Amino acid sequence: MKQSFYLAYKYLTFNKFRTLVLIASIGIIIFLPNGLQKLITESEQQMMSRANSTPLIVGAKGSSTDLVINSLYFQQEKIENIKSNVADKLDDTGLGYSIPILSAFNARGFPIVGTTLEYFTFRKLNLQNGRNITYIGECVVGYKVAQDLNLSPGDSLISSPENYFDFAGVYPLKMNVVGILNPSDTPDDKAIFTDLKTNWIIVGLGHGHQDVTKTTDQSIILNKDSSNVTANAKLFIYNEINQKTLESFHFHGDIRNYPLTSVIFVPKDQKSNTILRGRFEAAELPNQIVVPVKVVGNLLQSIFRIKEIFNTVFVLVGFATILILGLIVTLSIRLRKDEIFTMFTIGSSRAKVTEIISFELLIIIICSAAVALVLYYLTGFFIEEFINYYIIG
Amino acid sequence: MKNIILLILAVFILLSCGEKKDHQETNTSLKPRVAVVNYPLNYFTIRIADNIVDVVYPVPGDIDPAYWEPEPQQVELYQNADLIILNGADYAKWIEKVSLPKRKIINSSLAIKDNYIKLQEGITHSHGPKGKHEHKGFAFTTWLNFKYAIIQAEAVKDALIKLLPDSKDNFEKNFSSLKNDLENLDKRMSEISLNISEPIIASHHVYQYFAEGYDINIISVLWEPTDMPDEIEWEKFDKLLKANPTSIMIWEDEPVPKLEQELLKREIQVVVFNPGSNTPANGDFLDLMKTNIFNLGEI
Repeated sequence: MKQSFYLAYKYLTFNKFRTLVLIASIGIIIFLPNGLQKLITESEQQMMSRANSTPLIVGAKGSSTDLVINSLYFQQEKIENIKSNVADKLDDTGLGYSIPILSAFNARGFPIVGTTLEYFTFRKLNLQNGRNITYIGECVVGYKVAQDLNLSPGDSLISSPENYFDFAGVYPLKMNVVGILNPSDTPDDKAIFTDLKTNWIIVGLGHGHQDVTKTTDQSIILNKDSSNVTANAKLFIYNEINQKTLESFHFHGDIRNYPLTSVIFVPKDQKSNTILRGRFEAAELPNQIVVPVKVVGNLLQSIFRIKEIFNTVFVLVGFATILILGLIVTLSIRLRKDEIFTMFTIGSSRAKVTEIISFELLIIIICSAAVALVLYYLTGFFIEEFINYYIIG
Repeated sequence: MKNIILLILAVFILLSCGEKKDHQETNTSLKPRVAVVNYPLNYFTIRIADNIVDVVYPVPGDIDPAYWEPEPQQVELYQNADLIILNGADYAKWIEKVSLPKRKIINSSLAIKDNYIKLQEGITHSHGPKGKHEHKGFAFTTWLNFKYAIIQAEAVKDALIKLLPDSKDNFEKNFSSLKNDLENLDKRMSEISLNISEPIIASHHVYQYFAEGYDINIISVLWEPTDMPDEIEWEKFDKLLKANPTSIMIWEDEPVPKLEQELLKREIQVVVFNPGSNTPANGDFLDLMKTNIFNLGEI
């Protein structure tokens, strides 16, 4: 048998190109249905795990899918804002507690998520390095953000002016990185977390500048009377919050009307969950309330239907490949007629020849399986991209 | 060999003792921590909770808590507390500059938020001809109206009960005693105010709730007890005095002797009425308010 294996191996290595093509094509055929299955199964697990851990989301009426995608995965879909007093009203129900979210901006391709300290406890996020947010203007970044941008506590990030919302003005802010989170294998790894007030400063609802009621520079004053000073556009607005500028930062208008993109609500118990949803259905409370598990489940149903189609196609392709492989082997034997005659002439039996050809096939199948296995393993690295481009998209 | 083993064991035991000590130090207090933003709330919490909780109040004694700016480690004390009690009415400007856990915060004056007194003093600013104005803010020494102090103390009590339901009876009992003391202050102050028919000049704009609560006409200037006003200030003061004849001026603290003499020349008596925002040098909140009321009652 060793001799047969040796001869089979030598034959295959002599015909390198043909061997490699056979291994690659069979390997891919074996991999495709399994790889797709892995992509979909692991995506489903990740997405459902995230959805399962989030009891309720409240947001503006409209697409529940966009609301959930924005709140759970920080994909900045174009959704309507709600007012920050929605969170206060939810807290006043006494049915649980709210975690307001404003996810509208990004910095160097990563979403900036404005929220409260409860978010970190809720998501069980711990610090790997540094400390948590203390002052406005500070941020804590996810593990992958720190890795990709090479950040550590003490560095800074500037917010981008682009956003998907109809904010009248956006004021890029230089944020101070104070902490790096531990890896969590969730979208939190790729997010930049700030206090809500910091996001509102980026929107322009709060800012810092010199004291116009005390300044001697008249060129920045538009109007002045005994009770109010109106500044003009020349007034320099600070784009960084540090020890020197912190005191000057303040907010204009009523904070209860400031924008949020959604509110995660954590009910005390199942009964509170049902009562709150009932109040929304009875239109006692405006806006919409969604159960993330249901929304994500519906989204994944569409993916499963496509998967079934692909599986059918793969089976047919696999069947066709087996037929072609059989044809190739038959034709190959015919083409090697002289070679096989030579083997008989020098004393090889029919069984031996069959053994050699069988070993050739076996080596090809084993190598193909190895290729399929490697591809299957590598698929695990693309789960996130698959979710981002093909499910959330 | 035997000696080496014994040595290793000894080192191990010593290290374990060290670790145990650290662990013990970490666990010295398992009491819930309640963080407050000013002295009156500190006093109310200690009176009501009576050692059942650890009260966190890191404001240094020589700083007005309303304008204190905490260091990051001090903000962390608030972040790590089990309950954070705010005064409300825009008290403590630092609150809007930091990140605190929303669930743990209670506004002790929420029940009277419709009665917050809007500040008339000061100049606001806005941006552009149609820009939103900066909010002038509210007066914040709510506890100087002792009826409001009772409401704030009750809010503290309710928050403590929510935090530690098993200690409800203790909290109710202690609150009842505190409420009794505050009611006595209120009653005594109401009696004294009936005898005050003239306006009172105050050294600072901190007596708004006191004035409203006891129906006293208080006109404020902006003078410091340690600084002698200049001529222009005295001229303004004399005009004010002419328009509002009075013989009483209340101060947060004893003014310098020279200042007091000038006031006496104008037949104005100095009355020290310390708002009690921060920890007094002697006594406690109740002692301080009794002294304040006594000082006013002596006029």
